[in-house]
Amino acid sequence: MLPTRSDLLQGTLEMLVLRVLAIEPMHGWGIAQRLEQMSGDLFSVNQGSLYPALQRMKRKGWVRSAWRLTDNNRRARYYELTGEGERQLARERAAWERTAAAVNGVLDWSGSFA
Amino acid sequence: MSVLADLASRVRSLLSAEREDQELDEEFRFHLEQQIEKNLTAGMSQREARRQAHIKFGGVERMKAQTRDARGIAWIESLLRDFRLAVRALRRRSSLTAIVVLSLALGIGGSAAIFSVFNAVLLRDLPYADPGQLYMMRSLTADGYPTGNVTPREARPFSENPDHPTVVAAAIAWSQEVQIVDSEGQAQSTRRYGVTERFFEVFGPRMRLGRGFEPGDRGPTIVISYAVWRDHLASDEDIIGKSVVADGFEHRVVGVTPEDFVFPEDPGYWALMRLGPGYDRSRSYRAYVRLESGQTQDRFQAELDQLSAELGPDPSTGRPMQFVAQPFLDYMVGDLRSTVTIMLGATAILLLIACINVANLLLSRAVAGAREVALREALGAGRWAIVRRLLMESLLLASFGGALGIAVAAGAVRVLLRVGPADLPRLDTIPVDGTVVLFALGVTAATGVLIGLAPAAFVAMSQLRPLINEGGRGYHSGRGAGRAFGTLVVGELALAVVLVIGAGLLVRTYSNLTHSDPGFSSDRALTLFMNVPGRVDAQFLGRDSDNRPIITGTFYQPMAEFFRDLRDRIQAIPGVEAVTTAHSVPLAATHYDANMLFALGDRPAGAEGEDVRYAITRSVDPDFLSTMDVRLLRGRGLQWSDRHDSPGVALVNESFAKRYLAGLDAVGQRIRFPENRYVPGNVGFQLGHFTVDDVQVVGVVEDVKYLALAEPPEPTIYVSTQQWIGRRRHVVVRTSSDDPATLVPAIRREIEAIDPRLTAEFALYSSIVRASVARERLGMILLVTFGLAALVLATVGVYGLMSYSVEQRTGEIAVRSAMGASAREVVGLVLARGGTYAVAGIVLGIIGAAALRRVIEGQLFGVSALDAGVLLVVPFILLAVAVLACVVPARRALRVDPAGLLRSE
Repeated sequence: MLPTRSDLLQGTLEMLVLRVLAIEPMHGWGIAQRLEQMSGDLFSVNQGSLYPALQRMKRKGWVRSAWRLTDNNRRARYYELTGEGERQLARERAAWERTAAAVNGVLDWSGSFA
Repeated sequence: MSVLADLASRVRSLLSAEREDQELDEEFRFHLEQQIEKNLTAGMSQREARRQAHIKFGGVERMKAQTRDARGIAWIESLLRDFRLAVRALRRRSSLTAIVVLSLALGIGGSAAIFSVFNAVLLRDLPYADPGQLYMMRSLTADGYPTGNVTPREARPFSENPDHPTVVAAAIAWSQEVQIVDSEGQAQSTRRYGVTERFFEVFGPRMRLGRGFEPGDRGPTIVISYAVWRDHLASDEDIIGKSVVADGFEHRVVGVTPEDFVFPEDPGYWALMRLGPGYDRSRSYRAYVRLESGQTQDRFQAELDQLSAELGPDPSTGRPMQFVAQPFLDYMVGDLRSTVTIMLGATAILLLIACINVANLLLSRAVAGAREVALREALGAGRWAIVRRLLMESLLLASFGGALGIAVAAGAVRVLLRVGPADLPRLDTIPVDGTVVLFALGVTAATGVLIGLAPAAFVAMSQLRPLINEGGRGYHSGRGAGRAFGTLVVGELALAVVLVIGAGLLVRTYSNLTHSDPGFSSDRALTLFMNVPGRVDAQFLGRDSDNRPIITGTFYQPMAEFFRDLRDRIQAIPGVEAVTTAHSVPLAATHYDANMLFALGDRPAGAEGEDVRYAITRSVDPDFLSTMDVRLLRGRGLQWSDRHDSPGVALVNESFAKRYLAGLDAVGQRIRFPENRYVPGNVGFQLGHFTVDDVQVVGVVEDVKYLALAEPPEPTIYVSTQQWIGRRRHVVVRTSSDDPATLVPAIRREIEAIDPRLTAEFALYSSIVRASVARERLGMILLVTFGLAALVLATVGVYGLMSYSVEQRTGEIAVRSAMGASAREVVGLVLARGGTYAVAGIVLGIIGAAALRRVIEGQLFGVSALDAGVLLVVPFILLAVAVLACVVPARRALRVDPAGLLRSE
């Protein structure tokens, strides 16, 4: 069965968040900023939908959270990758690369059917 | 591992839901502030920076909800939140809550109490194995006159056929009052049940000791009841195989029944009975049948129909017989089933009315809160969430009501046991058991849904959005809710009409009963029932040639002397006007009456044209008529000169003369009792020691209500205690005192003077009469209570509806007043509306009552279920109540100030 559009997006968003958190622990707003920067403003709508995703990932044990002070002394909830989260990122990256290679293979097709 | 972590995370979230919500708020605030700062840095205005931050974030509330959902505990959490909100809301309106909870507690408690009676009487299993397969085989004569009893010949196809395809076992039995010699050598009165061999196979008790009867049993063999074994035989654990003297013979004991094996009548013993063909015509036996599992009443009935066709007419009477299969439980419970069912129905109606009222209260609150609902909905709260919250409130109310209701039920059952008649079958204990609690829980849940449904449906279906614009007094909601209100109140009125009509019919029945002429006078009278004078009987205990105790001789003379002595002593007490004794007296314990087969005239029984029937036959003292104030219509009464050695005489009552001697002069007719024969060795310690089997009617007396005031009098033959000696005697003492009880000590002294060991049960005759209608009185009290409660609830309902209606139409009333409508017209407006609802409810109620008339018909006496009086009076009561309920709303309508109202709009 093909994943539905929202599954695809959700899964993608989770993978991207994992990737952002792989750099360093970060609060929600920071994750949103990083995503924007790193994706060239592609993921700039509905920052709020980060939070349900973070909550789901927390439940799956991929991230954990803790309240810390920011650089300018504000209290914020920081999210941090767990070991399971790192493994999940690796799995998703591999799956993504396989999918991307397959998709590219189709798009770049130049042969002919025998 | 991850499943566990998931679960742990969910549980943590659940436990810390409130803190997590706060943290989420803080997290979002932080996010938005960061974004706003960034926007400001980018050069936006304060206002624009804030707006853009929110746009970029998406809906804050929606995101919060989605994040909460992601915690995976949304439904529990929202349930808990609904619960907290509901508790808070109910606490805020504590007086409303109290009223609702109290009325629900009464409704639920009342139905649970009546249900526990229903449970005790009809649902609880009989203490027999697989009781659903137990049946009675009953007989009817062709003209429908029930005798109930069968002859051994009629039961034989079942009782003596072990291979019957439908019937496991059948047995016939008959009972008589006898003596048993106790462990101290004293004669004790008890009951002997003569039963055929397979009796214990039919009932299947697990024996306390020994066994039931077996095919190989020879000679006099008995099984003893637990009570007799304990009370008279010193709980002898080694009694099996021993001999006990009972009914004048030695019997071998083979078994003792378990404690909970209760045969329908008094405790006694079961004697193995073998019936030769000589007994084939005797219609004195009850037939008990156990069907094979899987066999039904219909199947058994079909066999009985076939049997009556095969057997042909009863050889004693020459009349065809019909047989009826009656479930054993029905036989035991009798007509109590319909009474209890009606009461249960009545409580259900009352509970329904209470539910409607509560639903109305909640509905009015929902309407009042409609604006809030509309706002919340606009803010994104799902309508389902609002409905859910309303349902939560109503379930909470119902639960409180239900919890309190179970306590009410426990109390009500105690009261019922106190005011209820003592002789109700199976009502010795009414347990508030698991079934009852389950019932109460079910009723509570149903109540919660019922009372929540109306307001929830209103919210779910109504157009709320316009309300915001209309400032809360919207006609959209008003009209929908008004219709809902109206329907509920009409329904409520209709239900109240049904209950009040029922109550009215029972009140008339009770009044008819207590004012009916019983055919005798109970004024200033008391009765005493003599416990069997063991001293008299003991004179006849003798020894046989093997020095074993036996009962010897005839006891006629000493018995007669004993009662003559007793009468003389009581008569001599100052204040006593008259004394008489009788085997049974009206309305008190008549179940030992003999239903005697009799023949009229000289021809032999069964001959062509012979009139052979059954009639109740009672033996009474010659002065019974004068003492009981029973009128002699023709001929003469019994006289002391009609002695045991003079020709037999009898009186018959009016019903007997009309039924059996129509067109003849009753006086001078001859009545024979073909079954009366002296059986040597079976000395008459039973009901009647028959010294005569042939009597001449010397007089006709007025009918006397013997069984119950509501029962039609039955054809009765009175014979003399001088000629039919009975061992059970009621003594009736007519006094000159308005308080006959004051004579009890003096009478007791006289009895003690004869023998200090003798005991007597005293009763005021007036209380015997009262007790005989106790069941009817209880039914009436219950239904009148329910009816009054229904009236009060319906009044509250109408009041609420009209108050709401006046409030909704304030504008219209103001305009009309401004246009010059008089106070009368304004009041008329309100009354017309209220009256319309009332009339609709009354009409529906009367239709309902007419539809239900079959249900109550069996409970009525001297009044039809469609009694014109009741049907005319009840609507007026309801109408008056409805108008009364309109008074306060109408006054409020009069106070409407047109100018002020128009200004305020």
